[in-house]
Formats: sequence, C-alpha cells, structure tokens
Amino acid sequence: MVGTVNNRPPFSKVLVANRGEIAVRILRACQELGIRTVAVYSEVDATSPHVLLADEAVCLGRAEPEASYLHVGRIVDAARRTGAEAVHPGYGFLAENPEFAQACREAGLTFVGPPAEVIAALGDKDRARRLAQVAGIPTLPGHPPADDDTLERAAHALGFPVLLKAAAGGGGRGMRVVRDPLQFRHALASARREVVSSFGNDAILLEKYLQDARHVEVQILADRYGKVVHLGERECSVQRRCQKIVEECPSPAVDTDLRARLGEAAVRLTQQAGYVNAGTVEFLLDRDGCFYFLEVNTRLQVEHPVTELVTGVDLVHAQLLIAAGHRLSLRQEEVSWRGHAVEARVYAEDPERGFVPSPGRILRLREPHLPGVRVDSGVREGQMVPVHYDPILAKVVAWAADRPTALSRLVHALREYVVLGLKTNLAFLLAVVTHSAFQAGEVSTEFVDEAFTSWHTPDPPPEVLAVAATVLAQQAPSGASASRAPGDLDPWGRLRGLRLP
Amino acid sequence: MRPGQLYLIAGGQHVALELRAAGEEVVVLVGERALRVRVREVEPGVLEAVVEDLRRMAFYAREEDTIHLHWDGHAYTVSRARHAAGPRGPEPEQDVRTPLPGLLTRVLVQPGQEVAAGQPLYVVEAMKIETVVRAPRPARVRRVLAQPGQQVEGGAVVVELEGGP
Repeated sequence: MVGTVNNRPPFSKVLVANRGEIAVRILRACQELGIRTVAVYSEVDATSPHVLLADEAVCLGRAEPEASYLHVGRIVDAARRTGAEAVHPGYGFLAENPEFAQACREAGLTFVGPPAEVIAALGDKDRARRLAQVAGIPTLPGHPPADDDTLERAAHALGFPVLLKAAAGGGGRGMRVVRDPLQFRHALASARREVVSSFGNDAILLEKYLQDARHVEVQILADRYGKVVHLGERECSVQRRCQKIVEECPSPAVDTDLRARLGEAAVRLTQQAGYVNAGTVEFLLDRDGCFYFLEVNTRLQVEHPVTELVTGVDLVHAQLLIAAGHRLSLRQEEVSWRGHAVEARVYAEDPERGFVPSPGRILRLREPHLPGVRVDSGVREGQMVPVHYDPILAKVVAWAADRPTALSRLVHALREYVVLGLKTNLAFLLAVVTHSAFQAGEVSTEFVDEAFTSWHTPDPPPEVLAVAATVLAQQAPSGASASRAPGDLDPWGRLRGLRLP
Repeated sequence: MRPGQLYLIAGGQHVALELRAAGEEVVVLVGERALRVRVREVEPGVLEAVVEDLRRMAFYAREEDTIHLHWDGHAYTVSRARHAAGPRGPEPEQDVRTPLPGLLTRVLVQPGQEVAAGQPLYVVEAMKIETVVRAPRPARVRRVLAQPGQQVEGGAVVVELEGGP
C-alpha cells in the first residue's frame, strides 16, 4: 500500500481543514495521488501558501479560530459546496474533535482519521489511561479530572512533582509540571485557562511526574479491517515547557528489543480501541528501559516526517488510502528502519523575551536546500505571520545514514535558514542541537529547561556591525536625507565608491 | 556628529562606529578594531561581503533605519540611533510595554495599587499562548488604559506605573 501513485486516486477531491505547513504538506500529498484539492482559510490567510497551492480555496471567516479553522459548520459547508469527498484535518484545530469527525460523517464526507467514537474515547485522557491499563500497559499513578480542592489533595497524596494535563486535546497545551506544592493552585488555574481557550473544556487530570525520563512515541497505521502495524518510535525528549521542539527517529535510547516491545504495546492498545488510520501512542521511558503509557494522539503528528524518512512510508498517502477503505498491505516484518532522521521546529517567537510569539512580516525568506534535508514550510516571503495561530513557520528535517551525519546536516540547514523581519527560535535550535548532551543522545524531557535557563541570543559580532553600518551608510538618516542636496555637504558622499544600490 | 560617524543599536547595546572610505573598501572602526569591509549586492537582499579575510554570503532586509542581517548562520537586527548614548547608557524604559499584539484577557491590578517587582500586571493571549506582563520594578499603578476583551498592539501601554526607583 505504500506507493500507489499509479493507481486510481483514492478520492476525487479532498478538503484540507488546516493552515500553515501541515496544510501545505497534505495538499502536496493529495496532488501526488492525483486528488483535486480544496483549501480553507481565514481572512488574514488569503494569500498564505496553502491557499495559493490548492485547486480551490474557500474563505471561512474572520481571523479568530472560532470563526474560521475551528468553525465546524463552515468547514463542512465548504466541503459540501465544493464537492469534496473527504476532509483531512491535519493536526491541531479540529483534528482531535469528535464532533467534527461526526459532523463530517453526517454530511456524507469521509473524515481522514479515526471514527468519532475512537477519537472521543482516546481523546479523553482519563479513559485512554484506563484503556491502556486494560491492555496491560503500565501507566503512571494519577487522578482523574476533578475540582481544584480534590486535585490538590490528590497531588499531595501522589507526592510532588506532579504533572497537570488537559483531559481533552494534546500538543502539550495546558501541561504543567508542578514541583512546589505552594504553586499548585496557581499552576492549575493557569492550565485551566489555557486549555479552555484551546479545547473549549477546562478539565485537568493529574499524573505523577516521572523525573529524568524520555518522551518516546510509536507511530502506528491501522486499516478498517483490524490490521495494525507500527513504524517504530520517535524520540521527542527535547521539549521546552512540554512543547516538543526537536524530534528524531530512531531514539538513541531504544534498541531492537525495546522497539519491538514498545511497538507491540502500541499495536495492542490501538487494536483494542478499534483504531483506524494513522495514530501515535506516547510513552515515558525511564533509565531502566521501563515505559509508561502517556496518551494516544489520534491524528498526524507534527513530527511525522522523521518516521517517513527512516521507514520510507509516506504517512499522509497512507492516511488517505486507509480513509478510502484500502487494505494495509504493509506487513510488520516488512517495516525497516534505514539511517537516522532529526527534525527541528522553526517558530516565530522571541527567545529574548521568554519565547513569546513574534508575529510580523517576513521580509526575507531563504529556506535551505541541502542534501538529505527536507523543509516542510507554510510561509512565503512577504507574508504577514498572523498573531492568531500557533507560531510554527516550518520544520527542518535532516536524514543521513547515521545520527552524527544527520545532526551535522541539520546544523548546516538551520544555519542556512534565512528568515528576516521577525524573531525566530533558529539560534536557539542551533544551541540545542549543538549541545554536547544532545549530540551524545543523552537527554531527558528536562534537558532544555535545565540546560538553557541562562541562554540568550548571540550578540552581533563586530563583522555584523561593520557590514550593517556599511549598508546603513548608503543613505543619510531618514528625515535628513530628503532635504539634503548631494555633494560636498553630504557626509556620506565619501562612501560613494561602494557598489551598492 | 563627525563625518563618517554612525551610532547603532544592536542586541540592546549602543555602539559608536566610524566609517572611512578607502577605495573599493570601507574601513569600519568598531571599538578598538578597524575592519576592512567590502560589500557587493549580488541580487536584491543578497550581499557578497568580505570583512577582513572572512568572506560570506549575507542576506539582509532593510526597514528605514533598521537592518536585519543574516550573517554566518545567524540573524541579527541592527538599528541606526539618532544620537550617541548618554554617559550612563540608554535611559531605562519608564513604561511597561506589551511585548506582542494580542487579546488582553485579564488585568490583574487596579489604579492606586502598589505592585512589587515581578508582580503580574495583565495577561495577553496570542497564538493560543498566554503571556503575563509583569512589573519591572516596585511601583504604583497610575492608570489602566485597556479593558479585558480588547485587542492590544505590540508596544502598547496597558498599565501605567508611577514611582519606584
């Protein structure tokens, strides 16, 4: 089932209910399979790359997500009016919203993802935990969603540190590690506010926080006929405040035996849950090689490309074919892992000011083109990066036959990634991937928050000041230049020998 | 200001430089160093730049007196300052500025209230992430200039402070 571009397209037309890099990624996959495409967009995204790429584009409404990318009715309506057969939700927004999957089904549209009931069961983190326990997969001690007082008592009973998690949704939103009992109430209130704005539901559950652990997740594919295969793990321990920023495949901490056991656990759980389509089972892995179930992401992951590069399986093609009812012909014993892939997420954020989102206009954009490097990007030069959405701009993914070469390729790609006009985390990503602990593959989920507390963006070296001064000196300071006559009075006239415009 | 003198702000620091044309090159005096610089625009926004013996392709974008420059793997922003910094360096910022445009979700202080350094003043939500704006110093709240539910611009003053050191 893995390379079927010569066959009949699985759908005639697909609507992609997302924006940015993931919408571009899915639109391209559709085009490769011969599927006509529909993009949807909000008013601020009218000239975004995903809109320009699609065969048709439908404006959903104002910029606010509730009026656009989260508006179930308008998206279903757009699919109906354009004659789309299927809807791909991408990640984020409505991807893990069972009501959306249900609304698609009721409108006669194929939702590219699991059935609504499965999304609901696994999306409820507490139910998912219990499902894992039934499947015989270890879980960490915890407490189901409850009111503030109950959760606080439960936290004391579990012992600090504890982890707060949104009962609905994923992506690390609302996740808080609480080490100090005195901070518990404050962290809980802040987590509730964050998740209610992201998922419309403020239920928070509690788990014992496992120190010094790795975040390892297993990619699975499941067809409608009960067949499930796993595509191995991704290492996602490099996180800043519970948000993944660098991911790789395979994990430096997972050997063939552990991979088989992790994979088998993921397959067992998803099979029991009646899972269909691509999904990810997340685990925490401790130093002794013991793993604990975290959650299931019932969608395509941001970091899916590292698995694609190492296994050779195009996950978005697979999603579309499975959604169209194709049988998974890939057998578990055929899955093989070749080389090493590592991904870094490029965000519009300002590392100097606590990584606050840094919207603005991209004045200059030059994405890297290097051997073994894939850039999944959702922006173009001249584009205004809006304030309303997740600040991801692109993902840089490097593949090589071995990990050191893949890391070296990633470093060069990040150094050659030119984004000017807004602040990005590129310098921070470079600091992370060149750090000795990361290079050695010796990191836990605490690595970034511990190793980079005093990190700051590099100061401009004298060369930068010299080049900037030379360019700036081409014109007199604004305000003075217009009124000044050329000639001897111009203090900059002496620089005319420069060959600049 | 002497001919060739230029004041820049980069990485939060004020820097005074002097430029002297020397044939095809410019000599830039930065602190104690004199750097020979040669730049050529190979296409709009792309420079071939040689500083002393270091040769790099550099990318830039200019917004009036500000230049964004990608040099040797990193992006920097350098602005031209109108004046040299005073003897004590730049004046400390008096107002608390909103770090990014977004939705003002909560205001946590009232006019007349005393606040401690680091105390949360208000919360802005942008790109689904909450940003807490804190008091930079102990002070008293003079005025609150916006209400929760309003969109605020980056750089806007939402809470005016008075007093403090």
